[in-house]
Amino acid sequence: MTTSHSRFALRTSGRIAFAIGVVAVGATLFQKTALATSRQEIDKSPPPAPKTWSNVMYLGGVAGIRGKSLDWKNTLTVSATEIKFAGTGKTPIRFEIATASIRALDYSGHKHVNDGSASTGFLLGGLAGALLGSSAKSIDHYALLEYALPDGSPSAVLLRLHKDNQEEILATLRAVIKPTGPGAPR
Amino acid sequence: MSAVRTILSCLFVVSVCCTANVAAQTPVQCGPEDEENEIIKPKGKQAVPAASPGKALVIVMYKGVVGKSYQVKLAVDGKWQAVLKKNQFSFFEIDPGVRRLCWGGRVPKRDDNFLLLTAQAGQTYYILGTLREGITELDPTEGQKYTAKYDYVTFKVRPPN
Repeated sequence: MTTSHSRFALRTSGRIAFAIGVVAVGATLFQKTALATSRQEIDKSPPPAPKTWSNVMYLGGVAGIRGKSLDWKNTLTVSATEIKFAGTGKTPIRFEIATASIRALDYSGHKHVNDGSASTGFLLGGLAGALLGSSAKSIDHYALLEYALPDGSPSAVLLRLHKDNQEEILATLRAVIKPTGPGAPR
Repeated sequence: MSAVRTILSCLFVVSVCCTANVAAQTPVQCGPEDEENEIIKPKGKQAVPAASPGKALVIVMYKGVVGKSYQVKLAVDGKWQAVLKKNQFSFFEIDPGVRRLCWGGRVPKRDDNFLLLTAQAGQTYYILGTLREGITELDPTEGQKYTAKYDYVTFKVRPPN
């Protein structure tokens, strides 16, 4: 009787563990799909008023601008006519891009392990802690704007957005970018 | 005991799935991770040439830290174009247009490793790579200081075993 009870308990706990595993795998796959790089659709609603955000990094691309700006104190202003970046520091990076010249907006969500979370988890909870720690992830948000230079040649700008502003910035960018003909904003 | 084993198996499956996600969705692609390279040091000093007509020239330098130096690499549009160790530089030509640069090899994976470059024909771009701060473009005058004191190297791809 005791043996059959313990077998039943083992089978039940095994099933529960399997179910947890299936749910976790499902959730991971769902997240993966949701994060997939997507070509943003253009919103045709009226352009919003100019908005400014801090917590934006510049990772290069603008023709004639040298270097990057990896300071979260940089600001980005998006209006119906231009997109303006203002960096900080001794030699701040500044540039403006005419909204009408933008050809495409790409968003990428890069999911990665938090620095040191696995080792912290190991110190706190041994092997199980390390496993849980290594599954602690954060997402880096990137926006890549492709635009045309005055001579028609292509250029682009890569921005890193903050988790707290990325949705609003992307929505505003989508709202101000207008289709300008075949092949333009996708 | 069997329940514990099952739970550990599930945790393992979950951790493997999560790890598979880690490298996905970067805005800039590096070169193939399984590609093995060998650094070649040509004899003598190498003068940096001008870019060929219709091309742009990229010069990449690696400022290492004290201690053992491991291979670092620079990829352009998903292909490794330079392989270096500390205090070395290399150069190569690229087509004009928007180029996506990725700093890889034995460096921490971070967003400083990405750099977008709008290359123009006839121009030379000096890229400095470091272990801690990824890659950035330098002023030519500053870049030339590094090429003057660093060793020029090139590389070849090792055939897979």
